[in-house]
Amino acid sequence: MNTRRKNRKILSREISMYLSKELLYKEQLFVWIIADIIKIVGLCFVWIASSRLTDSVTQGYVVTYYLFVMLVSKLTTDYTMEFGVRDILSGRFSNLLVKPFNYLLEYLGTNIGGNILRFLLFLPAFILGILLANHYNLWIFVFNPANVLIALLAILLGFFISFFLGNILTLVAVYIKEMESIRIFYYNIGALLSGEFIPLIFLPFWALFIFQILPFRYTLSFPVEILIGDLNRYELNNGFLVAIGWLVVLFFVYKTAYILARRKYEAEGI
Amino acid sequence: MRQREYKLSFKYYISVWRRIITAAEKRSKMYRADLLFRFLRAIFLLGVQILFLNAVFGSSDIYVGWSKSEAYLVMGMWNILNYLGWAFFGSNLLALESKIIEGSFDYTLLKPLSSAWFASFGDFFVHNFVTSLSGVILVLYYIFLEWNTLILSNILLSLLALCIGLVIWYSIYLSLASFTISKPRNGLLSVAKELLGVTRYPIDIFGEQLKIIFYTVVPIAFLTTVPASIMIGKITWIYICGSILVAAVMLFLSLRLWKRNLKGYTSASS
Repeated sequence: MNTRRKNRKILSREISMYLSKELLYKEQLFVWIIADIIKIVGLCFVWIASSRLTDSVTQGYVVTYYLFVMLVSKLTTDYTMEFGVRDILSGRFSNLLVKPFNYLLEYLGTNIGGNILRFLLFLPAFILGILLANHYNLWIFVFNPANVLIALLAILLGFFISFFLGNILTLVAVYIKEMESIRIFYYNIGALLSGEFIPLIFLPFWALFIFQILPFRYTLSFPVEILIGDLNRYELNNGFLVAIGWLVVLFFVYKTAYILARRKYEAEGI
Repeated sequence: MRQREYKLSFKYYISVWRRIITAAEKRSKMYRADLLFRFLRAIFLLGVQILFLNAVFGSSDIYVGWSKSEAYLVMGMWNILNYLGWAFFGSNLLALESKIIEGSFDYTLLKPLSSAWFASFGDFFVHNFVTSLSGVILVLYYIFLEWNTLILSNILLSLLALCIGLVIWYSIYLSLASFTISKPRNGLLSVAKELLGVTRYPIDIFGEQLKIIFYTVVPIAFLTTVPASIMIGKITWIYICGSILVAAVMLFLSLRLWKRNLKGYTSASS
């Protein structure tokens, strides 16, 4: 069996293993749907009230933006830091290193499985959100197959950017044992700079520039902006260029970080 | 499982809790880098929240009847409540699930203490306590801005209302966490987290009908909006009486729920 086929098979096994484990707890899945609905309703109310105050942004834009942000975040989130750090600290990382395939495949499988599950669970809340928004004339999305296809590509890029960022930071656990604060700090910064907290449209020009050159925007806001049809061709091309550039840079940073971390790793098993 | 009789002396609990605090303080000194990151995160969160509120307000001075400084006050109250909650009981109750799955909850039941108390306050998280400073800064900022118009009794009553709010939040969290005992991995704490997230903003943004629900069925209005309104002088001390009543009922119900769910506990560490 050639390596590529073998890796594909391992990846699909990892995904199905993750899904089978999570599907054991059906009540939890149902409750997650309710939690998503509460989050959507809360955010919609905040921004609806806000858009009544200002003429610069329509209520519809904000509501549509947040609905899409929540949907896309289910596909581009990386969970590696949650279990990867634990693996390094407990020494379980050694097991992954001696396996006859790259440990990233296992992490990738877990992340893809997690994202598929959360995406599917979010769909009822998302549909409810669309119905509510539509009822109040707040759903401004116009279906454009080209935009959807390009957005899917951007989501894929966003997921891999997020994945490498998560894996680079996970390897820091080899040097710093107490990673909880760094992990939460990273999530907070990511949420701010990706446009999850504040839509980019609300930002001043100087802040917008910072958002555009950092990688976080491409993990969330960029695909959403494409879906809504916010970007012209120039902005779209620039966006993809920066995103691909970041992906290449992060890949090499990860490679270097991994070589350094493997040298330092002592499998102490705290 | 029938629990061993536990000591009811208040003094005994205080002395146990003091030891817990001392141990937590010593542990926090082991990871100084972690504490530094937490402190930086608190500052960062403060910046994000101010940026967020500025974006929500846009060019307007009033948002659903609240001025910008009043909205800072609500946000500050939320930070205090949220992070103190995590420091005192939130993290402990979140860890309950893994304790039950691993079987270490048996040790909690064997201790000569109330199981609800020990499961809630068995550890103290200094870093969350540090992060709550971000809330204190926002509240002090409001007091500084409005010093000339504030009434001292309102400030004191507001702090009392915030303490009562913390008891209400504890009751809600304990109620939902208690279901973990009889049915682990139910995901209910994620609903609790989203519910608390709703109280980050003045409850007025949700309109009259939801407002009634948040004052009665799910009394989360008492967590931040009521203490903030008392400090501003929008509502009278009568609301304190309402808060105390709600807190008493909620605490009673949560302890009943805990005991009821404890009956369904089977030590299934395997």
